[in-house]
Amino acid sequence: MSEEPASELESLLARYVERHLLAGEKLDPAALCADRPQLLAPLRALIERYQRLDRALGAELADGEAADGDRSLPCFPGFRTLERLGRGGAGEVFKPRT
Amino acid sequence: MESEADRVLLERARAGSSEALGALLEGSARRLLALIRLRLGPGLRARLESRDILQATLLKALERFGHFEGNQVGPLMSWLARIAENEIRDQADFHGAQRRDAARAVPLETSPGVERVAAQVRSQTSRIALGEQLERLERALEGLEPDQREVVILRRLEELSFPDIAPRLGRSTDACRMLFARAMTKLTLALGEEP
Repeated sequence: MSEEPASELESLLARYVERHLLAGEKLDPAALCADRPQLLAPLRALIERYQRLDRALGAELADGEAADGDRSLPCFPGFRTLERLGRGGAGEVFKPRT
Repeated sequence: MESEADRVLLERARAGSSEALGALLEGSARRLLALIRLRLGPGLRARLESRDILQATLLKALERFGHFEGNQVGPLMSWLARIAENEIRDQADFHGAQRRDAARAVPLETSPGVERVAAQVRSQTSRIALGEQLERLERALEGLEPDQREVVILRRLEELSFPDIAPRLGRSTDACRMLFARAMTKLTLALGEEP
């Protein structure tokens, strides 16, 4: 990847991220680079990476299992039901928040 | 941390349920540890044990929960972050085993239920692992400019609203939103640079 298309790609990603965080919208990558079809694949890859980051800073930080596949959270004996209740909601509620 | 379930836990904790408080603190522990590590930075992380600070923070939160004014879980995270920051300052100032032992032995003038939760906090905090993905994220965050790092910490780890973030950063709410969007773009790009 040469330097010129990389910075163009970065500004496309910036537009996607801004619209997502400021307006809660998910722009269509194909529409974003309609006149630069060669950027579509790398843009999609960046958007996927952004979405992973968004999850890592959201639900996965509250629930270690999604991030690491191991039981990272401490478990307090006797509180299991409460714990699962807290987790169940966290993953779903985080996504629409901007 | 914004789920209905967490709000129910918070209500029950405020009504005096130490089980609910324990579950809330448990749910916050991982995020709080990530926050503590970022607040310590690479320099202090070499001197202070982040899990000691996490443990002391959770124990103080148990002790002082009656003073917590918030009705939502988001501000609970921010409240915990303030306790953690004070703890970091104390431990950095009075660095040494004696000081840390004093923090561990924080007196609890509370019910047997809270004491049970405190004992569990003590025994469980050392078992939290952040994992490789979060360690990469930590390095990427530390590569950001200070204001960009701060807005990500305040928004996503402390879970503050932009109107609450604005005075902390001395910028308008809209400027903070834009700063956050730019920071998330930069973080995304930085995460791709690592192998």
